[in-house]
Amino acid sequence: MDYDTLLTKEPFSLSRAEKRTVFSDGLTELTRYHREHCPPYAALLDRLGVPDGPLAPEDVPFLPVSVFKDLELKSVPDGQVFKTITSSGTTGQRVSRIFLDAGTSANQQKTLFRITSALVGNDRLPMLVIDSKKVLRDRAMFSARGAGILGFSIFGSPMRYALNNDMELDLEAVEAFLEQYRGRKILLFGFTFMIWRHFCQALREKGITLDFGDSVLIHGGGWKKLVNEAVSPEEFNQTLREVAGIRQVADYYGMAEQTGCIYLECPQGHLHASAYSDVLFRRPADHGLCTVGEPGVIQVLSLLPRSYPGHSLLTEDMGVLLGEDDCPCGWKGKYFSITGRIPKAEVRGCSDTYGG
Amino acid sequence: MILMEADTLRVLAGSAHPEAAPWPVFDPRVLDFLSDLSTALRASPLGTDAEAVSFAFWCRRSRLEALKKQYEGPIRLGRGLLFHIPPANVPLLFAYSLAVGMLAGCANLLRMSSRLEERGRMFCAVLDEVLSRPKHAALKARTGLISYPREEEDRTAALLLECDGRVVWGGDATVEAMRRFPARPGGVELVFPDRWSLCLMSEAHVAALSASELELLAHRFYNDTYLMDQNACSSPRLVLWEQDCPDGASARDRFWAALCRKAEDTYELTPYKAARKYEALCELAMTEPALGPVRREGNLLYRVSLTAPPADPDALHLAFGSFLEYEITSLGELSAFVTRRTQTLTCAGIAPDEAARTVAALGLPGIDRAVPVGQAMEFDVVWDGKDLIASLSRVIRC
Repeated sequence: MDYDTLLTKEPFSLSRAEKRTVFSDGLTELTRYHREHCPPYAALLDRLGVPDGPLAPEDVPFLPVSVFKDLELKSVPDGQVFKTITSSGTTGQRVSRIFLDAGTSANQQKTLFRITSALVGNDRLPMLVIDSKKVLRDRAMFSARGAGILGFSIFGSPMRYALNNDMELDLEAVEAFLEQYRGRKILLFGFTFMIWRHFCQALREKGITLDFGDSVLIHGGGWKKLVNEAVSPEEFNQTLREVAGIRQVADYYGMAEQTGCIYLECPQGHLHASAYSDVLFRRPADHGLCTVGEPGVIQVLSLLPRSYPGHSLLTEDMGVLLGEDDCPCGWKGKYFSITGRIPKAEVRGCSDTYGG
Repeated sequence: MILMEADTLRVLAGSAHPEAAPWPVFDPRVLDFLSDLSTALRASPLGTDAEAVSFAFWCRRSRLEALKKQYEGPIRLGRGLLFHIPPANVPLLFAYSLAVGMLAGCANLLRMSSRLEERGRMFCAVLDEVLSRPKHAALKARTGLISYPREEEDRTAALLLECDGRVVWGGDATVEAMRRFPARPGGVELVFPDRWSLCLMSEAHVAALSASELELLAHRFYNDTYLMDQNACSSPRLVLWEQDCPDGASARDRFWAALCRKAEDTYELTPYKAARKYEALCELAMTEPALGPVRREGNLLYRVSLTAPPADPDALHLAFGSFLEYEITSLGELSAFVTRRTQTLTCAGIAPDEAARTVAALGLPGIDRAVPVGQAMEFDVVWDGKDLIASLSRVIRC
């Protein structure tokens, strides 16, 4: 099944058996494709002794997501690179560079649309982005934040921004937006930390409560920066309900290295793999597969990436598989939760100690 | 020294303002102190800690007396006050750095990492207790272990200008960072940039080992490598096999299997280490042309074969139990692997002195020590090819 055909399937409709067939074929084909078109990737597979024949999804070799920070990996000629996505590493860290051609870029948009429509429907909605418009302006560094906003912009008509250039809540603009679209379903989008810091906390400090009515807020980017503030997902959702009357809040898990293939949170509070991508959980000791309920390193599989060898990646995140095809929300596919980043551990060695 | 009064400064042992007057090398007061420290360590809770015990053994009186003999003859005096930057993640290396400074007749100020591990803190407590005994008052007045945030560069700059020398561990990044600070015109500098090490093993030797001898060799090799996350300068990352028996392949397999058993029993491969280990393997496999097949025992042991000497041996970054291997037929082939960054050659089945003579005969730019497998981590007053005692003292000609 080619990717366009797969995209015609409903995002959470494939059962385990169907998905396994589609992914075995698709991942085998993609692995072969990248092996033929990306010499460093071929070198890795040759040296790891990966056979050229059919591969079960769990046997597809995985690249550590961090290699995109050190190496330029692409499976298309330079001339076909249409844009480059960089990951939003924290200050001072190396960033990933992901090379997109027109086809992969378009498929990212389509995939994001298909997955998200499960939650917001197929119609465009008035959309409020909890960020500043200026993050889009700096095109030299096409950041993941900018990419996320642009990606989700396909759902918005019109689209407004809740923060001004100084990252302060533009209350006037927000209230005007609310006034104009009162009674309609509203979509809100932003990054978890930005929403908490510049929306929830700002409203609280001003002592203002808003009512967004029939509304859904989608947020991503992770909880890393909120850990210091000890904000739980429950508190996050509760606060949004209290200060802005937001009825439905959905987190998503995704990364610049597999843009488009997000893992969306269902009404039960579980992250779900869609029909277009999948997750595996691996034991750090031997990369063996975890059982249901056993925390492990998250591997993400996607049939989308063709311009770069990113169809099978070992992330730096830990998570736990909760089940497959039987979430009470009714969505098919694996559902899981994230338990956090791989904890940074002290490593011995003579080098690089000035940091202490 | 107004800066020193700020409350970000912690004195972990000794005094914050060491007196700088030079003492003779191997001064009896220093030998007495180190001997007392050795005894106190063994009696402390650290008496069961392998690295603390190694240090206590290293600075026992009989050993230091023997070492002293090597420096007899000329009149040698310490340079004055030394500023040490020890590495945070080589446990207790700071203790060796301090002991060498003392033996060289210097006063010592050590800037300790704020990430000092539990063992390091315990060590400082023992050190401070022994220093605080009345008979060691003179030494306490010339010794300080301090810590403060690295951002306080003004403090570092001021301290360095008061010192007669600096001892900088921690590799290229630290050396570069510390070189930005000016020194006194006559100040000495001992720096330890990034190095890497290799191992030379005879296939015939391994093939002939009894089961228990093999276990012992694996244990020693483990101590040189896994024990330090294979991240120390002296941890071998490349094994050169001397091809000297008919069935080399099974000798090699035999060794790696024994090492794998040892690592299984002892090594704690945390998720973070496993991630860094696999990342390094993949990056090398994607970029190094001279690589052959990779063999993995879970994530515990990676064996990476080389098909030819690499263009840049310094670029072979692997760690946490990942070993490159290559067969050679004569020691002359060493030259294709050794750069000025190569530090230690560990040997099994080949005499270290023979290997050292070969290094000299070949005129290699690197390899500063050849030791039997198992001794890579043993500290020596000659390190990175430099005599630390001689470098940190001055000779009075008469």
